[in-house]
Amino acid sequence: MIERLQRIPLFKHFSQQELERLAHLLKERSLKSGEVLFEQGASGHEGYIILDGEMEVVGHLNGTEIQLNVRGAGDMIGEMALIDNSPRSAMVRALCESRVAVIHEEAFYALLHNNASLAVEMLRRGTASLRTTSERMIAGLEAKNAELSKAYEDLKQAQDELIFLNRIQEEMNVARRIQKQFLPARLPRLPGWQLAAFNRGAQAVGGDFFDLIALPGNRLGIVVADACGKGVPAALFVALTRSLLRAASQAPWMLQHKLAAGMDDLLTAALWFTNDYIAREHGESNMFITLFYGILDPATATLSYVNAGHNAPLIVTPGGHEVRELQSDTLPLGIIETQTYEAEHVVLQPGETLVGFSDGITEAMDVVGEPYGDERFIATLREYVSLSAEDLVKTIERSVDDYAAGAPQADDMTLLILRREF
Amino acid sequence: MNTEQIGDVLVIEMPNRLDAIGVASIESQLSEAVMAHKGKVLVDMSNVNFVASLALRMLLTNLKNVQAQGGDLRLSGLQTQIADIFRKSRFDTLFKIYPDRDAALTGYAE
Repeated sequence: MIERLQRIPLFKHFSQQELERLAHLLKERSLKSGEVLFEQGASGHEGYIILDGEMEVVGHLNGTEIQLNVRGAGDMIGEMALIDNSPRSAMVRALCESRVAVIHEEAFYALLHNNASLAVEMLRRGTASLRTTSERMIAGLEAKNAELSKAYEDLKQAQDELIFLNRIQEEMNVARRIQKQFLPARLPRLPGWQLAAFNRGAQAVGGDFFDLIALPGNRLGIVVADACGKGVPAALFVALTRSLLRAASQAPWMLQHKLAAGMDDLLTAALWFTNDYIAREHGESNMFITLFYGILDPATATLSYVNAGHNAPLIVTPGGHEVRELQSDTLPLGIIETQTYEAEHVVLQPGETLVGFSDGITEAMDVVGEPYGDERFIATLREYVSLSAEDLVKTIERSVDDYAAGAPQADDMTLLILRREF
Repeated sequence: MNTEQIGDVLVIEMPNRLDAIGVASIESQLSEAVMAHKGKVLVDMSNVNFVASLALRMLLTNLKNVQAQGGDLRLSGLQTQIADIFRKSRFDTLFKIYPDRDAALTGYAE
């Protein structure tokens, strides 16, 4: 014991006699690895000098153990409780097989009383330990503070992003409301004819549109169109195309107060102007618009039309016995400048139904990505063609929705139905 | 998207679905390849079983770009339903279209 005590820095000033007296006061205790020397909060009347091994000082925070310190041979532990008579401030546990010398409270005081240099040495060690603890606490606080600042910055950034996204969302809502104004507010009434239409975008704003344009001589312009792609880029071209075509169709007789020479001229001239403008002014975007434009003269049931790359509209005979495509294929609008158009003609027979649509209908996907398809579309039209135009539109819409069975809408959908009554 | 140089022709093989997602996944790669090559480009469409309008736009954009540099972009191997779309939209008037890759390479050699 004396030899071991001699190697301990705390007792380096001790004479042989003092060491012998000290050894006499001490009791030895062995601890297994993991054994607790004393618990936090316990009352303490003993101090300890580690002779061999290592002990950890463990505090508790919110039920979690935190290792505060590790002490080794020669270190004194548990002396704080002896000095201020308080419960143990932390738990001490052996990290490996260890041995300690136990000194009782009274012996401890007697030792201090008789050995001023030991008292000073303990004070020095206590102060150093306090200083280390303070420094460690400050460093810990600084680290925590930096973490908090970082978290605050992250939070602020996330909030800014959220505000930005909300603003975009709000703008998209406004854009959606404005885009609705690009569709006819109400469908015109034509005696002897039924008209119904449906348009639904896959996103907030869409790339499909239909239009019904009042023209001189009680004639009606019928447009079904699909700008390439969907979302905002397509929506901008919808606004452009719809406005140009409508203005070009209505301007000649609105401005000059006279009827255009003929419907074919009006049709082909309006398309020429619209296409040329888009190809010339927006050619760099390489956007194009597939568009069907027909002008109906209700008096003769004649439809003059041009189909600029759009899905060919269908004509369904009464009872759905026959379904035929309106042939006339030219390039979509916006690709080639100064393109000319030639009008085709068809006379709608009593009871016949004209069906204009976009590929968002026939290419609506179910949950496994299979398209609704042309065949299913035609079969549904045949089956329900005896319904009124309005009910037929609703039936097709429901049929497509039932088919998709909740799968997200892949593309914008437009359907327009014109029926000549008997 | 596989590319291969056969003689002076850059042959680019399209994936099977050219929908919005398919187009987005190859669009920049295709235009980089075409712009780097500058000359004769052949787009092999034989795997393609679906084209969205965005795919037509992608092909048209590359056609215009490469033509502006004195090159050309031709197509080969359109499946029936794809050929139908090209015919109905008259995109078949914008591109030289060949039944298969060999015919297109022969066409370019002439």
